[in-house]
Amino acid sequence: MNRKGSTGGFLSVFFISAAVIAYEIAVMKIFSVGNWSHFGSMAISIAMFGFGVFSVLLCVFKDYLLRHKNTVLSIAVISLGFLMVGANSLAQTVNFVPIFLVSDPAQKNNLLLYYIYYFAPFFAAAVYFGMTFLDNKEEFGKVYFANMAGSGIGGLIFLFSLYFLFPENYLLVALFLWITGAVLFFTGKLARKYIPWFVLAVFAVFSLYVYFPQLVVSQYKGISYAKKFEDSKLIVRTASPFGCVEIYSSSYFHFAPGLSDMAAVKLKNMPKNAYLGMFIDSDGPIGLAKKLKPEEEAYFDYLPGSMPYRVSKPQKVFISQLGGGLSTQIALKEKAGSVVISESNPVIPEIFKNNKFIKEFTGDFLRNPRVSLLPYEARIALEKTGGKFDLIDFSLADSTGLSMPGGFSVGEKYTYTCEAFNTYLKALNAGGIFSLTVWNKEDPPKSTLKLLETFARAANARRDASNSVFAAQTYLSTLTVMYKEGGFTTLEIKTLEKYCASMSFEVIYKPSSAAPKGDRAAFYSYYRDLFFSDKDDFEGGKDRTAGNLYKTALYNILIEKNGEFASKYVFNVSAITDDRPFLAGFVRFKDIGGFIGKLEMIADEWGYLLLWATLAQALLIALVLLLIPVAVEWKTVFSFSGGKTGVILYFACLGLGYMIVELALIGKLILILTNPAVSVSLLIAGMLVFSGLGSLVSGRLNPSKSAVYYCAAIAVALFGTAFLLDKFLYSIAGLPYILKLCVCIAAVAPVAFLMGFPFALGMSQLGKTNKEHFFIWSWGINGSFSVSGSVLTPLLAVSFGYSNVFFIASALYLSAAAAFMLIKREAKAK
Amino acid sequence: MRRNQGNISKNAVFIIASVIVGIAMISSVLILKNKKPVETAPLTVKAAEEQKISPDKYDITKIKSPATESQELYLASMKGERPDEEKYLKLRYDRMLKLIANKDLWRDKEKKAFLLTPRERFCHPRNLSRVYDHAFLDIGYGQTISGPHVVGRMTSTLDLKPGEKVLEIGTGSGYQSAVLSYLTDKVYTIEIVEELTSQTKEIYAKGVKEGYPEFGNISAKCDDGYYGWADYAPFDKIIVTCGIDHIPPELIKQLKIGGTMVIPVGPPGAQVLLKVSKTNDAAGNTVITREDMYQGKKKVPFVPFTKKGGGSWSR
Repeated sequence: MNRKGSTGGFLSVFFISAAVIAYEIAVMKIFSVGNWSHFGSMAISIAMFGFGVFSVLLCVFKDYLLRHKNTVLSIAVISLGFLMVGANSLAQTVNFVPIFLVSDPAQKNNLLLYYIYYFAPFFAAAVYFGMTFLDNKEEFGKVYFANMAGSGIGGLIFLFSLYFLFPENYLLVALFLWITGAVLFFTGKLARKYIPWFVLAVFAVFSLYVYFPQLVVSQYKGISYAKKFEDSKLIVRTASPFGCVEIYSSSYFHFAPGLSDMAAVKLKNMPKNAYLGMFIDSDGPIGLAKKLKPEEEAYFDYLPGSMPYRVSKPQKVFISQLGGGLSTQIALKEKAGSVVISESNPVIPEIFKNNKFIKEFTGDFLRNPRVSLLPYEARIALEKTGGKFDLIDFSLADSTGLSMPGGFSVGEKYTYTCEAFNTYLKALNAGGIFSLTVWNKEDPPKSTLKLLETFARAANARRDASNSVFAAQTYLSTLTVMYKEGGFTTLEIKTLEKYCASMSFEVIYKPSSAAPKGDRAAFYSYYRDLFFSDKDDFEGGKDRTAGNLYKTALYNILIEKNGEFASKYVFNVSAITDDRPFLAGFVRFKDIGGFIGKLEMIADEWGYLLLWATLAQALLIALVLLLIPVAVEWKTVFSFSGGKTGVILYFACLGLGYMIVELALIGKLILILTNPAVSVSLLIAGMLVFSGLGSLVSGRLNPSKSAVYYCAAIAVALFGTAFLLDKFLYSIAGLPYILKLCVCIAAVAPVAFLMGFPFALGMSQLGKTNKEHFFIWSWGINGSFSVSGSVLTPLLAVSFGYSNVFFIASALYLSAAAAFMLIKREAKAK
Repeated sequence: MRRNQGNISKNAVFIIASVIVGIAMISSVLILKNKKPVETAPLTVKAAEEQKISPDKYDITKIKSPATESQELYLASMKGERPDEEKYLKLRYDRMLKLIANKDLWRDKEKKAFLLTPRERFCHPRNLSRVYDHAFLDIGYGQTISGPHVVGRMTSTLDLKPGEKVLEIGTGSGYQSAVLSYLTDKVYTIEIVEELTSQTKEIYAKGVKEGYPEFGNISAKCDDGYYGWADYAPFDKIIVTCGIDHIPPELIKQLKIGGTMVIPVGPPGAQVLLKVSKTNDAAGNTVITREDMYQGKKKVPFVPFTKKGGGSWSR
């Protein structure tokens, strides 16, 4: 084959790999903007099994396919671009709405349609890669390097394209990379006869692209409602890796997060047209607050965010997240001497500062000399500056606790861990106040209780916090918890109680709170019975309000401190830590089965439960792919090859292990990296390139002698990582961003480099021993288990914590070492 | 063995070609045939100004109550009275039994209102087969028609009495207002989506002509419900069926002292009902209280406990 070993051939692999990864990310982003991101992950993860399916086909029909390799490869390359656009065009016609997934059988078919459509381009890619790998098996390290490096660079190219591409054009990057890769492919002499077909395909692809929409936003996304308002006007639309930000003006936007119901009775001037609506990737709106006239400013007093100002006249205020600027406006109205805002998304402050309309609307407060901005997450900003503040304010900084259709995705929330709260509390001046306001829209609550558990654990770790906490809630609205360094005075408690009474906020904890009355065992079983009993009458006369639940919880965690509430409440609301930084997984493992059939009762857990569903599917498909050759062609294809058990084990362990390590490292490193959208992409690119280099270098080694040692070395490195990673991360947290990113990539590089060896060595071993069937089948096993690993990692991290995830990965690499020895022994025996 | 592999190879043409080229062909055909469902709502009525459906209110004391004792008696009592299809009447009756079991309906008046209201008239044709399911259904424009259990629970919680004025924010499909129109002759409803307002007005107008004179008790307009409907304020009851991060102060202002407002909070299908009361304390100060409808003594989330371990979707 003319491409074999040539620079053009390797470059073609590089660009096609880049195209496939750019396509994969683009589709995920399109899901995120047009629909709900975790369903995108689910559809893509299943579609990725195209690789596994082709590996089975290639394994069985190897001889025929190799004889016609030019034709097969040409068809794969030509059809890839067409299928990429075709699949996405078709997917946009699917009217999938996740909120109907449980109730509407048609939605399950719609989900299936996504699988089918997106399977096609990944299958075409699998044909191309599988054939190329097999054709270059003697130089597997080189071609695999091109594949890995292409994937890494493709991700980066996509990332930087986000600065100028809007979501409806995300596919363009993949298409141009595909054209480049295909042109390089067709420079080979034997494939030239297919060039007219390629030209035709390019024409067809762009016709499809232009004619059919590549992004249709669900009618149930926040932005779709805003577009329907009759006076709705687009003010700003910007694209960046931090999301597509769109800001609309309309008289129909009404925000007043947690507004006291008493505003209706007492507030004379309710400001009108006080907000613009901001949407990020079609989600929102976030209200951008207008600069109010002095006669309208009394409105702020009715928002829970103003509660700390009732007992404090802070000089130095720290605000987490700029958001729509409401907290800042309140701080300025309360005459704070200085206001420091931490905001890691650079796009939003830019809009506030530079857009003429927004500047006028918001009063250009970012240019107020009292206001300064730190481009970091609050935690890093406080650790980095080491500053002390009189008030640290987290007012609805996140959508935590706000129920959303489709549920939350499972993601790290390092802002709300015990360690994070400890950082915030440490940054308080003597007498300073930390104030946290969150959405309180669950009944019975889950996420708010988990946050309270976490916050209280951090506060108690400093000193007895029972006299330093005051908390109030509005039923099904918001909850505010405050911590005062040094404790609240009696006068302050009275002031806060009076304020809460005037606002109809219910006090759920104050220093010297009395123990809630009632039988505690009956209390806990009541909340279990709500979900797991068909009793239709529960203890008449007992106080089972949300207020009483909060009072009981806070009394237990701040005064009794025996962990009873966390262990006995129906949901898992135990504190979250840097090791397990997830505000998800409220359903206890033992109860998962019990919630099947009652999924709508836990709609905000769907993101987490979908991971289990995806894992089940992934493992099932991986198993089927493993068994097909066994069941159908085992004797004819494999009878002359020994070592099958070892091969399966070795590549399954590597597939799982690599993906687990990659995702776990990323999950941990974003703890200290600002701008995770950019950092994560750079990290992934770095890992892929260094692993690719590892596989390139591995070509010089004798696989049968070295694979075991490399696997063992990785296992040792991962074992050490489990112990040392947190310490390492805390030690570099204060470095400048660019330096920190470089240190992170440099720290990841050796492990990534080492992890590039075992797979390439294993494949070379099979390639050199003429076990060609195994060669390509192994690639499929590895790919299939990689997909399982990508789903398994967050589940393991939610359940066991990241340090244990590294132990598991270490064990997988040790198992791979043992499996490789088995391959050698079985081969010898044969 | 090699011959065997040769045979296999012959078939490979079909497998590989049909997977790659075949999918490409099917994709092209499907792309040409598949179009995103187009919203089919009529755009005939220009909204924004109030339009009464019927100049004459219908006296709800004239409503002939359906039998509730058994399905047979119910069907017999409805025969000739209303143009409802028997299959929907059966489904409606069965659903009522489940709503009673789940404590979504507990007074006779709401049971009768439920049994008289033709939900199928407010449902998108593609969802008619599931119209009485325990489920909220898509009606287009990013809106849903609430499940019968939510409508039953909210209606029962309102405890609407004849002659009381009730304001609904978020007409949506129009079904909730239709149910209310059997309980009072003063139903006011506001919808922000112009197409839905037009659609429901047509349904009401048609309904009045075809044997549902109670729909004439509904006044509907397309407007921003945040500011209520000052022309008809104050209201005895207010029902809000759209999500917002606070209770609009204007709505609380337009609620009479002693009045009740109900708002479902949370994502569709997992909603809990917020009940807001406006009263005066002993000193004459206005007090706004939020509570769940059982005052915390008993909670029944909007999911039926008809069968332990699930099975929520049976008709």
